[in-house]
Amino acid sequence: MGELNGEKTHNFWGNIFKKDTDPSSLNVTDILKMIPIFQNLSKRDLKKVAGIIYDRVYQPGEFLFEKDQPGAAMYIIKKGAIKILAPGPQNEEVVLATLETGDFVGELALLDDSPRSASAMAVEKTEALAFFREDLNKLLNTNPETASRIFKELALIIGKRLKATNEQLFSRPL
Amino acid sequence: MMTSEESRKKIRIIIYLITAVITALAGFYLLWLLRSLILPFLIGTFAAYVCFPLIDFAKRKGVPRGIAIFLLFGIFVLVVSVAVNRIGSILPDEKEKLVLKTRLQYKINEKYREIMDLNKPDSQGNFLYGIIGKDLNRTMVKINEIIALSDQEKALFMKYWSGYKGKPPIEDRYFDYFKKNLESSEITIEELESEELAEKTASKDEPGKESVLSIILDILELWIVMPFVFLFLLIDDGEIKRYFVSLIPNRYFEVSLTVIDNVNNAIGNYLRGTMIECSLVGIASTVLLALIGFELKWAIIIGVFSGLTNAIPLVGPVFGLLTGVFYALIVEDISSILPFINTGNLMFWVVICLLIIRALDTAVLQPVLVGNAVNLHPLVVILGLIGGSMLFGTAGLILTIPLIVVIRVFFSTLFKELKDYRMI
Repeated sequence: MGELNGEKTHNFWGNIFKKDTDPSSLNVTDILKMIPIFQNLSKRDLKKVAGIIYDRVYQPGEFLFEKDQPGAAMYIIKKGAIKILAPGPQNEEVVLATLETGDFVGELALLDDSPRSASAMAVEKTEALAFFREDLNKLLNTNPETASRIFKELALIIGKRLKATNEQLFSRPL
Repeated sequence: MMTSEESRKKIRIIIYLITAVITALAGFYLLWLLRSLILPFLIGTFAAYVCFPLIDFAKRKGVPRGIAIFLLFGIFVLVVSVAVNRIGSILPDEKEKLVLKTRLQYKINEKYREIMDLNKPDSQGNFLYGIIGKDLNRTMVKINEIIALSDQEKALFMKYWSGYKGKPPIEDRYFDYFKKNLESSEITIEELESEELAEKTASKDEPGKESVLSIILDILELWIVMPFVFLFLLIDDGEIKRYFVSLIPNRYFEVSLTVIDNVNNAIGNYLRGTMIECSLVGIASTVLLALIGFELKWAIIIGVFSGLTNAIPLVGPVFGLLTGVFYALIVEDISSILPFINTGNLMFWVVICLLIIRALDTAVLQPVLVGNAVNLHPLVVILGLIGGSMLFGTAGLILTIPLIVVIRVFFSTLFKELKDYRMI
């Protein structure tokens, strides 16, 4: 265009080479890389995991999963937002958290099919990636190294949460 | 007064129902038209199920999936072609079939006379014969009618006796059996030697080369499906499943994934377990039958048959047993390494051997390898067998029960998961 203004040139090249941090415009492998459970996987391993992930689209008010149902999959929010709901003392619905693009939920379902402790509901049109427990178990059979890296990260996350819970519990006055 | 939304909902349900019924009927009709493809399709699918863990094993060992599939497909084609060739060469040809039928008829009658003590010229038979002799005689006439050679087969037998199609002539002792069998028949040796019947046999027996070729092509056309089904199921890396799962509403997403996975595992385990169980039963039958003096060729034929029919609960082992007993009945001389076994007591030892295998199968193989997936109601088994054999003949007889088990596993898993997810 003949405009060699430094800032404009920077913006031009910056737009081409800029690392896109908006997860909704990333591909599945890049999104997975942002999730703690998958962060230690190589590009090749991430591709394997991306190959067994399911893409789902939820409309506002639709449930990803409901409380007390057997857990079967972990969800990663690719775009949109969800609410984590649980019944309160008077059986009213309490919002425990709101999760957005790049967050994940239901990771304990990767370990066993024990009932979900809360429900997850889309608050807007939400795109989610579902990672099914049995696919992880199969991965353990066919690619044990990849699967054990995932399990290790999962164990670390659960361990950190346990520590945090213990700290909260013991910091309370008796 | 019905609101417009309610009436639209009602119309929608009716349209869905009509579409579902029409699709189901069209599907069944199509399935009926293509029923001859079902069997090769099922065998290809079952073989693929058996091989899935091998692909996983290869992947675990670092062998790329493509190479593992290529190797497995090669092995599959090799095994199928060798088996077809071997079985084809081992199975009795036309001449052997005629001799076997003649021997069977003669030996059954001889055994009957021996048991009833009717061999002496003026014998009135034993005590048992005195009581139910008349009824037994009528039954024997019926049996003779069923197993006797037809007139054309008899004429063909005569041809083979004097040397036909370049094959060595039939042994004289079998010709004596043949003559003995003819005593109860209305046709005589002289009539059989007449030109007319012999010509009829020849024209029926030697079909034109074109018809043989067309039969082979027809069979090939049907069975070519089998290796393709096998190959494409192995190549599929979950794409079929992913496609169907993508059609499922979100509410049923997790439950459907769980059902598909559980059903897949249960079917795979059942088919692999049954295959290993049947192979072991087949091998054990072959070894034991060869040990008690069966000619190796016949030990293999009866062993393979026992192994295959073992997939059928209840009646399968009976088929194997009957085949063994029939062969023991017609056998002329045996060469057992066990000195106390001779042609006279061979039948008893066949029963003992096959009962030992049956006991081992029931007590050890089935519980360990297959579990309780086969616990079908006897009525279901019998109806399934009759239906299967009516639709697909012998192969239907063998494959119907595994198919029923697969369907049962699917529905029981589906209902269990739907209950767990509180959907029903």
